[in-house]
Amino acid sequence: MRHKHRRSAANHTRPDLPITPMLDMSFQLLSFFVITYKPATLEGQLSLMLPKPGNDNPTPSNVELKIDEQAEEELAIRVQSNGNGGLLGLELGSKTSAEAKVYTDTDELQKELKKIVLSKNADKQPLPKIDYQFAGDLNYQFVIKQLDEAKQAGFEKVTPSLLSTVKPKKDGK
Amino acid sequence: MSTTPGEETIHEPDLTPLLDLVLQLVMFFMLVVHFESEQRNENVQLPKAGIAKGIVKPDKLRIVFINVLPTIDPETNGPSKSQSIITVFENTSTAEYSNQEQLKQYLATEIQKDQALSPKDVWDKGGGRAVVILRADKECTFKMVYDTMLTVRAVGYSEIQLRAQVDRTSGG
Repeated sequence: MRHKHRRSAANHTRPDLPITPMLDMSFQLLSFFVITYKPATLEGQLSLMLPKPGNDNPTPSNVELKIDEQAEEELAIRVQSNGNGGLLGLELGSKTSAEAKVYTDTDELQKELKKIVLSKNADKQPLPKIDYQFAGDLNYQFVIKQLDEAKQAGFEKVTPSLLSTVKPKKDGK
Repeated sequence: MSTTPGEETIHEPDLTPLLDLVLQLVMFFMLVVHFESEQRNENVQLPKAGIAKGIVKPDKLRIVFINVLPTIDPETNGPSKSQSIITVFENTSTAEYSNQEQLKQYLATEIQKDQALSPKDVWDKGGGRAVVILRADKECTFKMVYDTMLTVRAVGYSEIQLRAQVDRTSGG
């Protein structure tokens, strides 16, 4: 005879999913991603005027210094390198003249630039453009620092270019 | 809640919502880790600039990232003053170049793709071109960056963004 076993209502079990080990594993994964997560540095973009395109096949090291006859007033700041990528000195002049004021300290130059801005604003004249000419071996962070200072002084139109060994003559030719 | 005859009931907290939340966080970090990490070369240390403004996301279909990083000079064990590695990221492709000529050839093929995708009237007006984002390491020389900028311009791209690290300590 077969005895049929019937489950009584009191012995009915409900399947239970173990959540705790899953939670442990999730915390392990979360810890891994939190530790390996590296937040990106806050980046910004710079608003600059780009160097003008030269010939059809420009070779940057041979770009000649051309004076734009239609240009508004334009300042030229020549930034020399000390051979190791650091700043040697700065010369502030205009594009049509070889006369230039020499600075060894960037703070002095920035004060001068601010004076120019104040004077132009007081006379209600437009601000000149600045053509920064950097030595080729100058460290890029110094380049950005100079451009930064010019912008902070108030100049809107700032163009970086490669320092040419050819200086404009006194009569602008 | 488990019970045994003759004993008090044991209350167990419901862990299911906690597990849901933890899985949400895990998914978030999994996605963020992958996001944009390919487009930025993490080895590139950007120079700081107070004038650097928040990034305005270009309204373009294509963005080309160019990272410029100087190589290591074996004599000084420092950053080289003449050699650099140029890494280009575009969408999902990555390419590495050691000189401007190789970069120029690559960009020339890319701009042809842009031209093929743009209507002629838009192209002739100067539109339809991808935006080039230039990320140069702070130890680069100016010539490295300048040459890259001129190469990009020579190929025909007109929109270039220079990236810098935002410097909150200086004014601007």
